Amino acid sequence: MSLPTPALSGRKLTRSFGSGDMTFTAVHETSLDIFPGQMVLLMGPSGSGKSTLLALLSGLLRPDSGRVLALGEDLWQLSDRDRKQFRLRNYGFIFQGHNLYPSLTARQQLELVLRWGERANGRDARRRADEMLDLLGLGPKADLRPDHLSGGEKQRVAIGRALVKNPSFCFADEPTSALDWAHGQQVVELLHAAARERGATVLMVSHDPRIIPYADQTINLEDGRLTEPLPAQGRPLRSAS
Amino acid sequence: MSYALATIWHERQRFLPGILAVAFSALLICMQVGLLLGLFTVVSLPIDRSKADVWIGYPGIQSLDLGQPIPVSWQSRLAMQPEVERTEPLLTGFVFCNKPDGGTEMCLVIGSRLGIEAIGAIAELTPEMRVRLTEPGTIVVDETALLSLGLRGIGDEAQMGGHRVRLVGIVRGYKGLAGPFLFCSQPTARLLLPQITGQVTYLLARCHHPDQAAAVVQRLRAYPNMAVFTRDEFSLRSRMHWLTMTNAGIALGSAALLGLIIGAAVTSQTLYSATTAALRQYAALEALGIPTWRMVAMVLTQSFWVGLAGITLALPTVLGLAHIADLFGARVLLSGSLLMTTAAVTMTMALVSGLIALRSLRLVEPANLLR
Repeated sequence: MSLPTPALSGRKLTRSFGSGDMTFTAVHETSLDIFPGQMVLLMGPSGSGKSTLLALLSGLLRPDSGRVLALGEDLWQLSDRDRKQFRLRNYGFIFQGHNLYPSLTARQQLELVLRWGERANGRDARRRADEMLDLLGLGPKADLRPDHLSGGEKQRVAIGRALVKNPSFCFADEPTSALDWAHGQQVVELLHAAARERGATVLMVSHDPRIIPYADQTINLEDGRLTEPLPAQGRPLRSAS
Repeated sequence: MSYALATIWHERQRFLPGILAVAFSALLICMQVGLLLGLFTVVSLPIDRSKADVWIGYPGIQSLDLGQPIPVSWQSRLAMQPEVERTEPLLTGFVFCNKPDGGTEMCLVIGSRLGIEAIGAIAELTPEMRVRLTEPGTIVVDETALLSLGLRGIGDEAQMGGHRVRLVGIVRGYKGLAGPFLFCSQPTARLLLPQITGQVTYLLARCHHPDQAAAVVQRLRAYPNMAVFTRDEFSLRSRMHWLTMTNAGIALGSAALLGLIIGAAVTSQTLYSATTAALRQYAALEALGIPTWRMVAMVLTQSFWVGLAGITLALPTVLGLAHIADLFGARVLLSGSLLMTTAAVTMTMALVSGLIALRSLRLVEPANLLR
């Protein structure tokens, strides 16, 4: 039986920071494949290079060497403009902080992405934003601004903002780190369900082992290297393999 | 409501300095230029309030008060124009008044004919004043000149250019800039202004219809060595001379410019700090692939609303201050075009401030959100 084509692949990705004696290599020749529709958890201790690897795979940080293939595109061979266009069409992001506009309501946070990103008209943007908020259980709070939402609700709005444009990928960097476990669990469940509903592949960085049961696969990173190959689909390939 | 407007409303404390800076600039420009125009209107009042449609002076004349003697014989050039109904000379010049406290005050003598049909006399000279002025050595002055000339009221006398003159009437609204206006008959003017013996300072004409003045002026400009203007042209020329050539104009203009620069600096800094405070939000949108021009448009739209709010705030304040200034005798001339120009200039300033604040968007780095 042949394996399906990976949706996202990293090949021998290396990224260092600093210069001279102060050079610090955050990611060493790391290769991995991520398959469509999965929720993949990238774990590792603090400083292990998880967020850097996420930044490389998501097209936000240029690798020193190596390639990133997303939906068949060699991401770092694209021009800045084309790469940004690719992100617009295919990538959603959830960050540690919610980074929502304090002045906009939950609905407006989502509408803004559709209207500015896809030039959706007002009515269409509103309908799609409301559908997404309903899916996240935020329908009744659509007209509230961030300062009237709890931490968990704000992070759910951020999930909505990442997924409302139906991206192929959703990158989440420690989305539960600022939440207690009850709310964190809720956020992970919703992200899992919403991504599945929308057919998005999720790559989530976290150091919280309680999230492992929700992931289709878990990848471990230590000192910028993958520590073990995983047997299932979406296996990481051993560094420099 | 646009996202930019929603942001300004929600973060009004942050945007308030920018709005106040625009309002301050608009207020300063309007009041300075309004005061300037109000002040310099006085310069051309004897032109504006006369019945003369055409003015002839010496070549190179810049302002009413700077007249030089010209030959009275040129009057025939005016009189032979078919559109001209009648003509008459006007005598103007400076004379020193000896003040009771020992100092001197320079006054601008305006000697005109006084008949009810006279075209050089200002409209404020009542028939009664005109009758009294026919007596040689009598003058009419503005009420604000009484103190500076050492006069207490009608009937008082003053020493001017070696002659005693008597006050026979008082008008309002003719506070001269260079010195008090002295309105008098032509014989009195000749007495006080011996330097223009046998000559006149201006030749005036009234046309059958005011609209004909332009054609007359055009035709008379064929004559060399004399300057010919319509009433409006000479009035504007006189005001513009004061506006551009005097230190007062430059000083008030500089103050308005300074206000504009300060306003631009504060507005730009306000928009810059507002954008910097939202860098994480902009970075999140940048990561999502939102085109950068959308964020540029957001900052510029914010600058537009800040400008509009500032101008809206300034308008009633300007009108209120102008009214108060009027109560204290300082005339602030607020024309529609001045208000429109001020609004346009301050809006441009706000938009330029927005453009300057755009440099903050260079700090947007979405990779920094992954830490």
